[in-house]
Amino acid sequence: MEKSLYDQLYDAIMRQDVEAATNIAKKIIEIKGDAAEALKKASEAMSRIGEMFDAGQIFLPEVVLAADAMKAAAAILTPAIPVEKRKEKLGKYVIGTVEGDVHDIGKGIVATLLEAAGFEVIDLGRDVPLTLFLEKVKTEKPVIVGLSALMTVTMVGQKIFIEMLKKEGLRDKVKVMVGGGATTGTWAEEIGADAWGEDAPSAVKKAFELIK
Amino acid sequence: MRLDFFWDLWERSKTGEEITEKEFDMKLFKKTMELKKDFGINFNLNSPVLTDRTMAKDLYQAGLTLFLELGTYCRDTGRILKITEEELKECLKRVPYKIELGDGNERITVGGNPLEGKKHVVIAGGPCACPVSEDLFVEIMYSYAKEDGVKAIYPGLLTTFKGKNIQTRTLLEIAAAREEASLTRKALIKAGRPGMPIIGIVHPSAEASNFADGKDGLRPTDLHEIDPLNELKVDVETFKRIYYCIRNDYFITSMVCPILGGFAGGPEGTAMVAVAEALQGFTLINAHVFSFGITHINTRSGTDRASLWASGAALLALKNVLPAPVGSLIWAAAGPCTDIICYEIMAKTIVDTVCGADLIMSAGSTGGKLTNHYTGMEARMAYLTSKASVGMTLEYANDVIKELLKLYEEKLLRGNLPRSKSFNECYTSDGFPSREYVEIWDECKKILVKFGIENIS
Repeated sequence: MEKSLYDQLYDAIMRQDVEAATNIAKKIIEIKGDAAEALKKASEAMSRIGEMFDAGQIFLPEVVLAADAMKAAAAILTPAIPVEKRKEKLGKYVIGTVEGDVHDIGKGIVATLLEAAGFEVIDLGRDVPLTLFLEKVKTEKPVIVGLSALMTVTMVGQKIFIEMLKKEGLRDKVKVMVGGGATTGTWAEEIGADAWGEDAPSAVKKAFELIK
Repeated sequence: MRLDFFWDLWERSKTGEEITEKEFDMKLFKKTMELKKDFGINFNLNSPVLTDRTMAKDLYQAGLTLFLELGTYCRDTGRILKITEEELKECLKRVPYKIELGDGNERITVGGNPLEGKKHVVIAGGPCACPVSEDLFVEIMYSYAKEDGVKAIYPGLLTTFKGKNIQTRTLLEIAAAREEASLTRKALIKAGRPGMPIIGIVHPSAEASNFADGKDGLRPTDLHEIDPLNELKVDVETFKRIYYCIRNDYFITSMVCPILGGFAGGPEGTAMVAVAEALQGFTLINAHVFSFGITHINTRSGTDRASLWASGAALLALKNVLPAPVGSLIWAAAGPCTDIICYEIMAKTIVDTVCGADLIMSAGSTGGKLTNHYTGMEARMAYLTSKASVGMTLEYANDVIKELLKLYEEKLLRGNLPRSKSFNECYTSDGFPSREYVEIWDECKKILVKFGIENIS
């Protein structure tokens, strides 16, 4: 028996097939299928992708391709969902690697999984000036700011940023998560961060806990 | 000649094919998948040490093809710079078969190691750029310097300078870089080995790294480290470091940490990338020694089965073809005074020694996360294991590694590691390991005695 279009979409994302995901999403719209149901299936596929990555069954490029397939499908499906039925985004999540640090592979994985989980991710990239993080807190009003640092000489930027938030009277307006190779739970506590993302899956889990 | 070629490559980084970084990463991944198929490079789960010597030769060809066809990506210009096969051959002709580092009684030769561990490997001991506090820096470095088996030293990085957190691109980072070299020099003097060569010192800013040089810092007889970015990437800071080292005629090691599970893909792709990055090292980076430490994206160590295979395979591929010296970094997940770190170091050292490494750096432990969790014992264990591995065949090493993996692999994969001890918890201030640590090592090395490796005292 032929699989439903929703299951086919799930499979296309699991296969990291951007073209197939796009075509199936278009077909669903053509036949006036349930776009919300389709998007839900797409999210399930990305969750499964995240689990497989964590288990070492697939690698980073496959996560990126699956995310591309999901984004392509979402771009077609979302406009077809009535506004009142659209699953509310969980809030904005501003993320970046702190200034002076050019490592961003881990941060990239976190951003991808957060987006798949339903956050509106604003990825500032790497070597991000702390003033830009602060500016985004003011203009985007995110629920969480995530700062990544791989080295001890760059992770001090996470501490400085929290101090900047306090100075501007913004500390209680946003949750701060820190992560990256140099960081530990002890460091996060020491600098007054709200959470420490030990790895990508735990960063996503803690993000959910922070917004409760 | 070197400078002319350097400026030529600098120009190419500004005029080469324009591409986004994401496109380059995906191109890399797709190419490694293609080459894996074309050259028949396959990781066998039941064989953590590559014993197929033909596959090692094919792996070199795959890495060479990857390097020549893909090139190196310059992040700051968003362009690819490529080197021709002819230029590569010219560069490789210039790379020495071996180099001499250090001064006086501590002068050493690095290189010239034939395959299958027939000759002893140089052990560089140290925290390998992991975090060390100001108050313990000299003591910790001293614990390595006083080990007879340690012939070079790889310092840690200070967590503070004069009690203040160090931020990159500030005066404090510059001061810290010099202090790291200077305090290491103090530790060497304390150990009565002032001429021992130092490897390093790398900070995010080229300015700070370069400031580590001086009479009380890094010297021309030391090995200056330049770290290109993952994978097959450079930036303007990399070019600054290369230029600085060429102008000063310093010995250079190009150090990379390919990520298994990252854009290089699985073990086959990662081994290929390591080979390609070696060729990048001996050309663009002007390295005298290529060093690498493959790290698994999930375990954050280089001692899982797949990473061991990839490291060994890349070493075999390189040493089969290139005369140039190759170094290997041990990056362990566990920390001092645990059985797991003993097994991790034994496993990685055996693979490195038997597959032809000229230099082994031991060790970055706790995945580089914890401050002061680094001791001279990690270097001692590497030295003794390496000495005992001399003459071992690939097939024999494979059997030994399979047994070692049974003792730690599951805990490593589950992240279920025993509590690591800091330097103060397992070492005396005059540089001796605690009885507990020595007993743990004595117990752990018994696994090697089972294989008839008895000379590991």
